[in-house]
This record gives sequence, structure tokens and C-alpha cells, in this order.
Amino acid sequence: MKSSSLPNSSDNELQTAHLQAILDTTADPIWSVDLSFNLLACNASFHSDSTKNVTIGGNLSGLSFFGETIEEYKRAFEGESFHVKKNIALKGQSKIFLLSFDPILSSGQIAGCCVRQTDITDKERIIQKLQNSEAKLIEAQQIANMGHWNFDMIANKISWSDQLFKVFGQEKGKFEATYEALMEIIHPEDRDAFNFDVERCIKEKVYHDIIHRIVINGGEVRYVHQRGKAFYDEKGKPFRMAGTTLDVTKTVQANQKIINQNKELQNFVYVISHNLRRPLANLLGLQSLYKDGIDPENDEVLTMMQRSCEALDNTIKDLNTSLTLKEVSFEDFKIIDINQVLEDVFTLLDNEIEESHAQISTNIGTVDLFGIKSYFVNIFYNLISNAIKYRKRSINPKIHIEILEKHESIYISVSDNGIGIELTPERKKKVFDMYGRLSGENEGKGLGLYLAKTQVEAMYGEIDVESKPKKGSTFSIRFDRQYVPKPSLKHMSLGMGL
Amino acid sequence: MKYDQIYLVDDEELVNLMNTVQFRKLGLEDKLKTFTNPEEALDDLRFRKNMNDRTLILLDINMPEMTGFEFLEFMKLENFPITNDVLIVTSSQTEQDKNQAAVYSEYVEHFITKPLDFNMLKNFIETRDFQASA
Repeated sequence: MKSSSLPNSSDNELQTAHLQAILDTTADPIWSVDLSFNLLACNASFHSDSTKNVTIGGNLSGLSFFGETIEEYKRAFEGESFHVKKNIALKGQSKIFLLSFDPILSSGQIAGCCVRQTDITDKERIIQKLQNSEAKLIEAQQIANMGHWNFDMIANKISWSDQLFKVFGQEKGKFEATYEALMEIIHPEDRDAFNFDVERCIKEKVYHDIIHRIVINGGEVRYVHQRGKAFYDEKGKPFRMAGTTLDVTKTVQANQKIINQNKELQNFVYVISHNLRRPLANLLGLQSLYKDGIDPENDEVLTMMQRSCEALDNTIKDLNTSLTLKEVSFEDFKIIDINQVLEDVFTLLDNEIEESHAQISTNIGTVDLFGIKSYFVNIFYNLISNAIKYRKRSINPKIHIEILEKHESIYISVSDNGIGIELTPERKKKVFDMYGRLSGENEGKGLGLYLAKTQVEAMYGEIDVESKPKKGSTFSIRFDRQYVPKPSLKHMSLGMGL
Repeated sequence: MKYDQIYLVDDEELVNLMNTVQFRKLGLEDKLKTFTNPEEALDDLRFRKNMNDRTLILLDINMPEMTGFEFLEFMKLENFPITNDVLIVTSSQTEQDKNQAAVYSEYVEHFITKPLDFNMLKNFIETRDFQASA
């Protein structure tokens, strides 16, 4: 073994030979020129193309083998190190090369430049492919309204895809996603369930899979479907979770509609089994009470039979009415003059209003209603007659009707100062059920509010009730503005003779 | 069975009227009290002079103010003596309702689907054995 000493000249030659060997085995052509474009040095790859038959000392000015230009050499002579990308057709193939220019210094002065050409065709194509698939991913997420996330459990940082910011109604850059910040977005009633599912996912190594509500934009509720999984280090400690979030608001709402329709169907079954069976059972019972010949009871029995028959007849008529209600279409809708509607209702309720000394006040502004006039007449008829029916006997009933437009919605309310009622959720449902009655005291057969609800819903609205015992009740109806034509459309539809 | 009092509880007045006719034929009209509001019937039962009177209650299930089952629940909670016999008389035919009625077996003697048959009633009153005549 040699001791460390200054290399002698034969060592220098050896070193140079080694360096040359390294350069020559490099696939990238490398060469250098002096300030007069004379070739100073080059590796073997430089000569691999037989057209480059310039030898050391030969002049390169005016020649361009790899797309290099005099201007680029000159930039390097000015002292600049830089890269340029070149698209070159080589043997019929499109290639992309990177040319790196670096000035060569000799005693502190620029003496020339070194150029290296690298084939970056494959790298460029991979980058291109990545960019394409990323664009496709973004596009797919936008279309599906789905986002993905990555939860770094150690740093408590969650990274969201652009679309996820949109799903969660947040602005990128303004919102920093952490577990705690996410909790704030999740509907308070769903937070425990969400935490439970995340813990279950981590502990049992199963998919995180939950549909929960989020509250965004100061009150808007959306449904999202989260799916994800946890990743563990060698020691089995979870350090990361990743997954997707899909906006399923529309699906959940559609589901809810189906559930509601099912409930309504069950209500129908109930109506048929009770309200149709009841008068029939009475008729059967009465028939057995009827005695041939002159029995003093017979007249009474016959009168009761007639009442049962009428009840049966009415139930069948009611069923018919409520079933035909569901068959209206948007095309039948017209712009409704609310004053005309109320006038009709007041005429119909003339007797009841007079007898009860009801005072009715209105604040209806200039809001246009859109729908079916007879429905509106029936809705107001039922709400107002309901208010009169359930009045306090001690004071004159006061009924207030209000219609206003707010936040893209039309609100209608009918409030009274009647007896009111304590409304449990159970009772609230019963108020609008077919034949649902909360008291047997009044003559109501429990169809009015059911019809009103069906008619409101047939016109794409919602109806709700608030009530306090001894204070009174308020029925409120909401229609989305989107189901009401904009003013410009109004004239058009009127012109079309609608 | 000799009943001191008979309560008819059905929100439909017609049903009570029909049943009144039946009890009249059995000569028991003077024992009758009829109610269309179950809450009032329950109140009346609560404030009887003698809670241990032999009492028969014909009870409907589907009533607006209070269901027949809620009615029975109150009887149970308030420890009504078992001298109160209940006949459920309803237009319901569901197993669910029958099962729920069985929960109050200390009071409920029978579950009858409307209409109430006169001969059955007569038999029950005379022998307190409803099924035998069925």
C-alpha cells in the first residue's frame, strides 16, 4: 500500500485516465469549448453520432449538433450557468433533451464553457402523465363532488384535496384542517358517532365508513359519506389515516322522501283498517241488534245504520280526494292572486267568522304565490277554520295571516290566540296525519290539516306547526322561490295564457 | 258476574249508543256510564266512592286524547284493584295490539274485534266466560 504523499506525474496521468473513463462511460455527451468555439475536450458519447466528426482543437462555430446556439454559448461566456430544453426529432422519434451550460474558469477568468446534454424524454413523459392523471382526478372529484384527505396523526394535520374544501364549504388557505377544526364542522349530534367510527377503524383495523351531517355556511346542513383507513408503523402504532369524502346530501334526501312516502302508505293502511272497518263493524253490530217485527229499538237502530253508511261513504270519498291530490304537475301551476284566495275563503267561512266574532288581520304585501288556486283556497280554509274551531271560549279569536319573502323563500303563517296544545314530536306528526286528531271534543274528523299538508307538498312546499297551550298556535308554510317564476318569466307565462 | 258499574269508553258516540242498546236489553242500563273522552272516564274511575266496586270497562284502543293502552297503563300505575275488568273492543285486528293487551292481563279479560256480539256479551255477563259461547 502506498503511503500518503503528493501524487507523482504517473499518478496524475492515471488519475486523468480514470476521469476520462468515467466521462466516456456516461451516456450523456459532454464537451467544452474555448471563447473562440474551439473544442477543448469531449467524452466518447459526443462522438457516438458519426456526423460529429470534429476533433479536439476543431472549430464548432456555425455548427449545431444538439440544437445548441451561439447565443447560448455566449450567455455562458458572460458567466451564466443555465439549462435549456430542446425538442429534437432523432431517428424519427421526438426526443426532449436538456442542455446544461456552465462557464469554465481559468485563473479567475472565463476561458470557455462546458456543455452537457441529457436525454430527459422519459422523465418528461412521466411528468406529463402525472399531470394528466392529476387533472383527471381533480375532474373526477369535481363531477362526483367527492374529495380526499390525508390525516397525519402525529402532527395532527389534515390535508384536503381542492374539492374537499368545496364539499366542506371552506375556502382553501383560510381554513386550517385539524381534527378539532373538523369537529367544529360536524353536526353536534353526529360528533360522538364520528369519533366512535374513527376509533373503531383504528382499533379493529376496519374501514372508517360513516354517513354524517355537517353544518356549513352558517347553517346549511349537508350529508357526507366518509370512507377511509388507518396506516400503522412497524410497531403497529397508527400514524396516518387517508380516505375519501362524498357529498351524499341528495341521496339522503331522496331516501328520506321514500321513507316519508312509506310512512304515508302505512298511514293509508291504517286508515283503511280503521276508518273503513269502523263503520262496517258498526253496521254489522247494528244489524244484529235489529229485530224483525215491531221492536221499539228498531227505529233507533235504523238511524244509527244510516249514520254508519254515511261515515263509510265519506271515508271512501276522502280517500279518493287525497289520492287524486298527488297527481298534479308543475305545468298546472299559475300565479295566484292572494287577495282573491282570501276573499273566497272569507266567503266560505262567513258564518263561522261571524258567530265566533273572529278578528282577522293580514299582512300579505305584494308577494306572488305560484301554484293551484283551489289548493290555496283549501289550505287557508282549513287553517283559518282550524283556528276558529280551537279558539278560547273566553275571548274573541284573533287570527293573523302573514306572507313574506325572505332568503329565496316565501313564508306564509297563520297564527291564532286559541287554546293551543302541548306539542310532543309524536303529536306534531299526528296533527297532519290522515284522521289524526288530538281531541275528540270537536266535530273535526281529522282530514283538514292532512289535506292542507298534502296540497302544500304537491306544490313543493313544507308546512309546520308551533303551539303553546293557552297561548295559541302558528301554522307556517314555506315555498322555495325556485318554484316561483321570476318576474320576467311571469309576463311570459301570462302571455301564454296560463 | 254482577257488576256494580259499567263504563263504555269509545271516542265514537255511535259505538257507545250501540253498546248502550245491548246493555239495555240485558237490563243493565242503570249501571252504565258512557264517555267519548278516555281522560274523563279515567277521572271518573279515580274518584269513585268505592274503588273496590265490581266494574266492567269496555275500552276502545284508538282514541285521540289517550289510547286504550295508555288508559291501562294509568290503571296499572295507580294500582287500580283487580275488581276492574276490561273488555277491549276495537276495530284493530293486529297481533301487535293483541300482544300489547296481554301485558295488562290483570285487567284485560278479552280482546274483542268490533262489532261486539250481543250473545257473546250476554254469556260473558252471565258466566264471565266469554270464550265458551264463541
